[in-house]
Amino acid sequence: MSDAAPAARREDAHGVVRRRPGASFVIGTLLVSLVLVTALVSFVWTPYAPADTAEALRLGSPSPRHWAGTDKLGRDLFSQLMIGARLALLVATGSTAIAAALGGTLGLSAASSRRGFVDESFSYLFDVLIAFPTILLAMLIVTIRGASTFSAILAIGISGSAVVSRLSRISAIRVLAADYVKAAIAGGASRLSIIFRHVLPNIYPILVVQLTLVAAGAILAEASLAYLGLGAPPPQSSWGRMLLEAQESVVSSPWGAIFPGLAIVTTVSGLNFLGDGIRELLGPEMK
Amino acid sequence: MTGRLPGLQQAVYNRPVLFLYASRRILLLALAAFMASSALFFLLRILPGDAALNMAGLEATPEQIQATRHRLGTDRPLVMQYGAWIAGMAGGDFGISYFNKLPVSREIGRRLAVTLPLSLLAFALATLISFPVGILAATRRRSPVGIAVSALSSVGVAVPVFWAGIILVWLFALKARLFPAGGFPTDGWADPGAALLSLVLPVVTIAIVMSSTLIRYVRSAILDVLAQDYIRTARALGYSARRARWRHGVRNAAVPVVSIMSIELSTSLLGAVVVENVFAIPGLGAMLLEGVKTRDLPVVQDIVFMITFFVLFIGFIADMAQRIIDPRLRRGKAAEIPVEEESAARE
Repeated sequence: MSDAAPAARREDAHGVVRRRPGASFVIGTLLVSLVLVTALVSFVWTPYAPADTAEALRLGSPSPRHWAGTDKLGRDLFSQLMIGARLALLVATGSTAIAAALGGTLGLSAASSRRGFVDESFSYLFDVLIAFPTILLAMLIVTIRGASTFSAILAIGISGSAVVSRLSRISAIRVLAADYVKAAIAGGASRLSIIFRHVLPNIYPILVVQLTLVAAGAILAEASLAYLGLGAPPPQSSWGRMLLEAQESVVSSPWGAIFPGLAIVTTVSGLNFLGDGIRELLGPEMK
Repeated sequence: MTGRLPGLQQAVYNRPVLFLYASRRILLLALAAFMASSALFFLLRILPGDAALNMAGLEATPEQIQATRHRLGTDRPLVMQYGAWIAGMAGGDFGISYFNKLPVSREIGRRLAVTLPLSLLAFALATLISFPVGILAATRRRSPVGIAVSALSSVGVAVPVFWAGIILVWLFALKARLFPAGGFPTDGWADPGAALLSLVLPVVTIAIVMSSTLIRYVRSAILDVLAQDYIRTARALGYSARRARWRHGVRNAAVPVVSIMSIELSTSLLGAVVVENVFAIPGLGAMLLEGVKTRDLPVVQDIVFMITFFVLFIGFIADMAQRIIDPRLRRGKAAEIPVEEESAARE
């Protein structure tokens, strides 16, 4: 967290162009694209229909016919894994969008409020919210709304918004102290136009980094909720629930408990690497 | 720390500031607890349905239903109910479960006897692993060991805690048969050996996943400090690298590490909530999950509030600890949690 003068930050924009993507960025992009492509392909093609139990083979090991084996009903695990990617990405995207919209609005209003105590109480509120665990909020929302994909998205999004609001508040305060913002105010610019023309363009790169990490956390949280039986109800394929179902037969067919976990680790670490990679591209000045 | 007298004078000088900070921070804690409890209470009251109808049974007369409502207190205005809830909790009365009609407090007490040891042991183990490993990864970051540690820990943060649990059960309980696959002795801690044995795998599960995060933070906090001018100055003054680190590095690195440890302590409790369900351990987390699934309002409300208060309280302790470690913070704002992989790591 360097307190670089806003003037130095403009040069930073040129730095972004010059810097070469590092290993984290490349690995992250590859892993995330892999999951994204899998999810997209699953709309047009999966090796078997995910609910297809006609096959007599139950709890099968990976084979040329069933790349990831089959579950206790004889359903093809690879097809379920592919379809599970959709849900993971849907929850990640949805909750990250909520986190960005809610967190950005709260953080920017706190930063641009002209009364000190408003800002201070907002900032304490963010700290409290950050400490408030996602899984607990999700359980509350499920108690109120019942288990569904949307409940999960809502809970994870609201939780994620706390980090986003704190970050956008801190970054916005720095931009608002800049001379060009004072000049804009002197020139009669409204508060909204300052936010859209000066603050947002300056803070969005660092927000993108944070949102990538929020998305990674969202996939982990969704998997936990699904595992606890609080996520998307069947027949929606979910990696978390696949693990729940595979747990009871882990001795006779360990693959069912290994592949969905690997899928989660791949996606989450892909997003983490991508976030780190983007941060590297931005350079130390932007942190 | 440096010389006897100056340190003492410093402490005397700082005491009123610390006291002022502490009293303001306690007020904030109370305010946050109030906000959290009322948000929780009124949010849960959005739920449609009348608990008294369910509890009184299908053949209850209107009078019986009314009597049940009165017993539950749901015939009073919401604000009164909220007041009764808070007053009851302060006096140790946590209300009655809608589901099994037993006092919630007794059940919570029984469950805590499992969950608290589980999460505290996991936290202790994670701390014991993370500090040496994190410091090693920072001081030897260019060696194969340092690189391996940071690669492993960055994959480790992507591992869902319940998956780690499933894999450990498979390997160490079902294949190797070293530990029980789940459950907890029905007579609790009557046989401490058996109870501890059934906690081994859950504790290790939580600790492994937590350590990945903790190692990363310890590593970046240490790297950050090692790059500071005062370390170089200490070296220039003739301190050995080791002595410079211990005299000047540790205390400075401790501040951000304390904030992340406070979050991790809360995480270990939350980890217990999930992991208890992997291992079928009858703890607070399992109780909360049953409460959520059966929509048992008093149970959900009490446990969520207890955990929230615990999290807030840990935050308070951490803030105080940071002010004791670093007097400069007493006048200003809380220390930032370090952004992972600080610039020093990259150069």
